[in-house]
Amino acid sequence: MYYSEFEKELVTAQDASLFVKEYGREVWLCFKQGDDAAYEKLLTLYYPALLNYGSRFYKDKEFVKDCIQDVFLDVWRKRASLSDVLEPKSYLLVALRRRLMREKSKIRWFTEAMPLDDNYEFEVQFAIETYLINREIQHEDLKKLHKSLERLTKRQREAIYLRFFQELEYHEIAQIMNITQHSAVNLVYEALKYIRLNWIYP
Amino acid sequence: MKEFKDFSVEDFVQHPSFRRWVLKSSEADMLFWQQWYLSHPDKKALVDEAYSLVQGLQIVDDTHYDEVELAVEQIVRLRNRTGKAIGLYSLYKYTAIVLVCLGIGTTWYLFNRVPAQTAFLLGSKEVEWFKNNTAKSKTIELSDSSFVHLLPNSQLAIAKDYNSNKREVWLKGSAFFEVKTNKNKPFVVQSNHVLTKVYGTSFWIKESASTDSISVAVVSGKVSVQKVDAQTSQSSNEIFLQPRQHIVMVKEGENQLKSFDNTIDNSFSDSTVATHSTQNFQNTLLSDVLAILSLTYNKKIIYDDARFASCRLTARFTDEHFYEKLDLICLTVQAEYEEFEDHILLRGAGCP
Repeated sequence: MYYSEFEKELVTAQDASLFVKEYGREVWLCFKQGDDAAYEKLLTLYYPALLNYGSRFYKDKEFVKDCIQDVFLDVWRKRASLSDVLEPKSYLLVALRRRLMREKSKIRWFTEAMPLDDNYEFEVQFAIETYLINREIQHEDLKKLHKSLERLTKRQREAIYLRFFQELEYHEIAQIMNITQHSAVNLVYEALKYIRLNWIYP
Repeated sequence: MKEFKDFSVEDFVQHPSFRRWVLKSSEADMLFWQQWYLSHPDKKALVDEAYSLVQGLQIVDDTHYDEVELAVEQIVRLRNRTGKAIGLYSLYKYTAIVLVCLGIGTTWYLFNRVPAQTAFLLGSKEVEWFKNNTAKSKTIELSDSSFVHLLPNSQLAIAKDYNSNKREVWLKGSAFFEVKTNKNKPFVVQSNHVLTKVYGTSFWIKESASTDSISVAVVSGKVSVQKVDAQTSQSSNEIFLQPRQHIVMVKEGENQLKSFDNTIDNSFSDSTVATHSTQNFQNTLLSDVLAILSLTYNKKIIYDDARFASCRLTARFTDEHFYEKLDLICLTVQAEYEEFEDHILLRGAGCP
């Protein structure tokens, strides 16, 4: 019941990813039922993802960590009334994003009246800048690709980040960014199309 | 469902299996796509573009996992403070729920454990054996509330003095570990030629008889692995693993370090001359370490001084080859290197 997944052979990355998802769900269930140890496992499992995501919005790490702490303590307090969430990670990411936006609006209320949901930055570093590059891609093409990436909108960057780095499904991305699933799909496809148009692959 | 032959570039870029091929994280997917690529030459341009996009769009994981451990501890402390007032009734409820969560495995542990008389010595250490000769996995709860989920045909030996000043276990076969955080008592797993040190986490150790290798995959927390020579009891340097990293330690030859999805494929390869001097670095500046390396091997190493200015290293090099040392340095400061004709370029985000 608890660990049925890991009885298979852990050969492929797919198995590993599936295991982590399944494991996460089980940990969430146990935590909800009051298992202290499960709460700690939940923290260890998802804190890194929350820290990484939060850091996209704010460079101030301490502020981000404070918000994450609030999210987790809140979740502990409400545990009896929480539903059996299928994807604990996106649940937590939604909670964090909301809290970050709320905190931000408190800080910036005195500045220009911008729609709350639009008033943020999303910084992400793509691997081509620091990664060991496969010799098939030539340097000039990389520079062009880099330029295109810089010109993406922050929503496109966030959608790409959630899709390829956090490995989320479109309905999860939609939930987190508070948009429709259709919009989430468009964001990623638009971003990819834009990159391709501005980077003529030989 | 769209067929692959009708896929657009964007479709390929997003397809999980295609990505696993490009990022080299799955043998099965790599075989499939290599074959597909060759048998669909009309799609070559499409696939080539998608391939480059998947690579180029990878995002750097700049998470500092050390911070995570501290932060988690703090949250648990705060939680304990606020959640204190537990009535007697709630306590009983909690205990019952915990047992349910543990499932069948706990029952096995409580009623089927090997009686004390059969404890024997492993080398000079007194241990207690737990063997799983069934077809299902079994859960063992250790005295510090760590859990080991032993797979079929696997055995676990626990030191009699477990949880005294350290936590030692020996694994034959495969298991999934959930280790309770305790910085003062390191949790150590000896499995064949691999020694895994744990810093409060959950991870896999799998033994493969066919390739004479041990795999360690980290689910959460931080773990270090090192090769141990059975005869001499000498151990290699510690290689630290983060969540979603998976290393295959082969008894003779190259190790393979992979990520669950993003690729970090460093093979520690056999290259030129090995020096036999021991170099001991204690919190040394990276610039100094690189300077020494550069002089020792007569290779020019170029990097961004500003970025790496605050990086420090604690390591002990014995007779690794140049590239092994470079790989270990890169792993530690989260950098990558690229080799050019007359120099080596080190790239990374630097250190906080």
